[in-house]
Amino acid sequence: MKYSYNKLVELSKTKKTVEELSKLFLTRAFEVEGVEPFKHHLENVVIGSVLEVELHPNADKLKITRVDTGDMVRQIVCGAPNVDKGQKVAVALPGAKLPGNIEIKETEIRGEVSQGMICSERELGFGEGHTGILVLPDDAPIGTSFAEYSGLSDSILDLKILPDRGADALSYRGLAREIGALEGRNLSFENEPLGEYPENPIGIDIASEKCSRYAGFLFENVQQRTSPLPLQSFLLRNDVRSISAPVDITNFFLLEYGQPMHAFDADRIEGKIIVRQARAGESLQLLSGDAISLDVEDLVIADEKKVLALAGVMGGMSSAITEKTTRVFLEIALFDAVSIRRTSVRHHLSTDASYRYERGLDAHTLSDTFALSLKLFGEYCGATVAGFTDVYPSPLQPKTIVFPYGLPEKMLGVPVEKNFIQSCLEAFGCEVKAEKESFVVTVPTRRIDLEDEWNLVEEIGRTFGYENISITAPKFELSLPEENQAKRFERKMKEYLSSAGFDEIMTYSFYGASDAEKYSLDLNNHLTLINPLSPELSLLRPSVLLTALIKAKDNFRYFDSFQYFEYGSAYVRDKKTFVNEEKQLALVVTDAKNDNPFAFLKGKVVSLLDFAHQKNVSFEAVAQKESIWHPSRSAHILSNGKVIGTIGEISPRVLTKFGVKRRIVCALFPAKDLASSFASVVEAQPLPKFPYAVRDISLTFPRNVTVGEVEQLLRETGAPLLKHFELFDVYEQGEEKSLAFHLSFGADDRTLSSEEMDSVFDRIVALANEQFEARLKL
Amino acid sequence: MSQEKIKQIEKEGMASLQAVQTIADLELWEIKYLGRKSELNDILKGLKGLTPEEKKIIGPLGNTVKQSLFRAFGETKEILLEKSIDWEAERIDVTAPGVPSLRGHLHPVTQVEHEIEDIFSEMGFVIADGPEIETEHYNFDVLNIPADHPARDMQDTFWIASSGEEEKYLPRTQTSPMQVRYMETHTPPLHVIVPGRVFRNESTDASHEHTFHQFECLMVGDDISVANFKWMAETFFSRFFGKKIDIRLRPSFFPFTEPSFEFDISCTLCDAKGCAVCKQSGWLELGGAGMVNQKVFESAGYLRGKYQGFAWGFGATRLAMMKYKITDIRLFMSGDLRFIRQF
Repeated sequence: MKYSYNKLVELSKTKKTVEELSKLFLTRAFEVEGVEPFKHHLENVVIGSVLEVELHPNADKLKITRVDTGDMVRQIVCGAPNVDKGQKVAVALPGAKLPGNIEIKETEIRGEVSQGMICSERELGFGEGHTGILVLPDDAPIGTSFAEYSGLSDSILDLKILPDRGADALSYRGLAREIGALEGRNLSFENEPLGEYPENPIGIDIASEKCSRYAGFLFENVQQRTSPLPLQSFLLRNDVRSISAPVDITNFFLLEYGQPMHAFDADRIEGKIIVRQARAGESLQLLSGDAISLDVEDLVIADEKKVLALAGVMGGMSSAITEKTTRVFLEIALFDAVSIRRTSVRHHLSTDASYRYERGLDAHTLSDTFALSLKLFGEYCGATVAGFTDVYPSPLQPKTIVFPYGLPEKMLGVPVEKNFIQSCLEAFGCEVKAEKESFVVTVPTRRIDLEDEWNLVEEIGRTFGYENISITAPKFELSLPEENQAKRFERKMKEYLSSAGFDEIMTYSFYGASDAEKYSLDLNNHLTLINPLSPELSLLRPSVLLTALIKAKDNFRYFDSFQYFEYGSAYVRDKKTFVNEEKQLALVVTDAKNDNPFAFLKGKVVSLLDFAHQKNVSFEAVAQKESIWHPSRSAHILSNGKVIGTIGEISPRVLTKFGVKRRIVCALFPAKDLASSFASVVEAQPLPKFPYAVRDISLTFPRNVTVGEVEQLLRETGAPLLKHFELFDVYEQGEEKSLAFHLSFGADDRTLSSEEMDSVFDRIVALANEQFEARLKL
Repeated sequence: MSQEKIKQIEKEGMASLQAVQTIADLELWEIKYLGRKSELNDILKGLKGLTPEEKKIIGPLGNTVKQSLFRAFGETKEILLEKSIDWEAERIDVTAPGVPSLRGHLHPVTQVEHEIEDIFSEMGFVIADGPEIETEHYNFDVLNIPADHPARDMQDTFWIASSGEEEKYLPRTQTSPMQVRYMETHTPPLHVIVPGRVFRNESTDASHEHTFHQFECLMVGDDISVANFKWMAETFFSRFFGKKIDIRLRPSFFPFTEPSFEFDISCTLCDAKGCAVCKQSGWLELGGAGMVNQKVFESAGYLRGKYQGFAWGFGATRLAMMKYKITDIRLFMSGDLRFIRQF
């Protein structure tokens, strides 16, 4: 919200410069988002006195004036019908650059020299008046800058009023009180009492508990004049367009008191005013021109025939003030914050009124406006009052809070004196009564944010100044923090993988339906966002691999080969728990120089699993036709017979849809499966006392026999003397393939004889022949 | 006699060693003078047949000669070896590139998270983590942010479509839901940090991201105070940035803390003298903090007024940007390896 420095000074009587005031707000109250001089574009505009007016010799509608601008008497050609001798006027001197970028120069108009311009309201940047020049009061001082005179020479503070301070600080009076309190002064404003007036002839009926107070004036003989200069100047500095005095007055109260008001054309009200819930099927054409269908939860202002306004949000077209309006019904009311907020959200309507109502307002600030609104309608519009009714069924009682003396000190961690507490709270307008161990604090109703003793601690703390609280180390008993094993495992994995050459990426938790379709995934299994930023970010990823893999495509623009991982959360719809969220590790590898990247990644995975203490790791081919995995180049990864992950090339069917032509191989693990053995501790084995002997074997098999099957045969047949084996060559020809292994034989208690080794070797050859029709290759 | 013989062997041995030119000749020399069947060895083996007086003389002399021959042999061997290698033929170009060896790079946010976790772990804090998909209950209600309250506007929220469940779900807008989740199962004193991914429904540009990483710190006890928070923040940031950092608190409003603050740190670039980064103010806005609202304690099942403590949060992403001078926040989630490989 933007606030005029001049106005704040006027109300608060502070002696602070704008910089000092800005610092006071920043450190004690509200964030200051900016301080700027008000841009009025009225440099070189001064007050002048019209000394003489003559007709222009060469033009019917123009006049030649002589104007005293303090420094000299100037001849100015003027076209305004109302210019007259003896008037005080605003004169734009040569060199002035008026709003709308109008440059004023000394010039000749129809043969007569003109040394400036006498300005209308519109030329000065406020109001709509342009039928004639602006005439200033007689006491306006000649030669003075017009911007100074009209208060436009001002600074504007842009303050971020905190959401709980809507009731008081979204107004000049509230902010002035805040300044006073922070300077140690309890600023109170005198409000004239309202005299006795007859009941408003337009009755008021509150038929919803969403309205706690509703007051209405009926004004007659209302004239649609322009507002006086000071009010126009005030509105201009607050970015509010001056329209006509009745409307300007309501805007004045909104700004100065924070109290929204609404002016209805009383002649358009049929019967009495009824504050009620909207009925099903009702609609309303708003002041903005938009027609809306009302919801039964909307609070409306109606008469006996129709809906007039959306309460607290916006008026309706049918009862709007027009240039012809002479009778005005002025609404000053208090509506329920939640109801207004819901209506504002429901209809996507946020107005200055709804912004304040939804933060909650004070029923007593409301009545502070009564006498002054009557006075202003009289003075500015010539209105007379025909009646006034204030419906306020259950008056608000101020809250009291028991505030222990020691609480500020305990919370802030610094000594706070009792006297300071008392004077501070009193400056904020609280009544403070000292009892045995606590103050009893009565809070002014406008401070709806002060609900309990901790709210009061905040008022003490910020007034005391947080920079005055000296830093103190906390004291607590030494204890061993509970270990977070999942986090620890995650960190170990990330550090291992980066050492093993993998880069770590992070991708969004969201992706789009078009990508899900490329993966041939069922959209119904996804969790979806109601309000995504874009369709590409509308689904929650059911697997980390899906979003991590897509990044390969972008990276192909810069790299031929890469290997990266993401360790993040995936989210799967779950019938019972709604969402099943789990951490996953996805690995993505591509290598331009290698047409079997599977083997490359498999090697990395085996080492990773070894690091994770996974035992008895094996791989089993999977062949799912509908999967993202390549049907003949992918495998389940098992540990002790249980599936803990998947490895494989991504199916070319999928990659083609993403426009990727290279082979990409990936692995995916649920973190909890990967971590299942991490806590196990390695048991050291004694080193062999007797040397192992190595022999090579090369066997030729039918092509369809897998290495896994042969290895299983070696394991089973070779035990216990065959200690290790290692495949070192594969040769495929026709329907056959040869596998060559290094075999290491040994025993724990002796050096093996060659006869012992021969017997195991022969048994392997015999069984391979029996099971797979293998023959020994010589 | 043997005495002379020994001296004779030494003289001969030394002389013939001078003539040795190749490793092969040297091996023959070694067999002749130092081998098991050498003359000198025979004499030393025959010692036990001598008189005690002779032993006293022959023994030490034999050993001395053996040692000096051995030493001379070692020196000659070294010289011959040196001569036998053609060093120029051995020469390689040490400026040619090495065999490429891949080094992976941890994401900058991960690196910053690890640093943060280490600092707090050293102070005895628990590292907790919670679900990224939260319920409305934990993300808002228990944090004193009721439905229809303008405070919800402070965090633009994504909502997840439900199929008639009573509870509403959302990608968490903050790490604070873990405050109550943690307190529900633990009793003060407690000190815990919660790192994690959070989500805000706002359009992205160089300084805004809908997905980023946050950090939460919660410390609750009998008398944990604002002064303690200032110590904790100052200590943490001084360690993190490796220099003395000052903390400035400014009043703020968060429904789940009372009093609430925004906290600034003294500009890490100009040391609070004023520069372009801190817009000449000397301060950098970093995050929010406050004393835990008693209503939040009540949500967690604690008695009102029994405990007090602070909670604070800030962006781990933001810290990574500050630390590494990253100017476009969108790079973090881009998956672009040109970015990742810089760290």
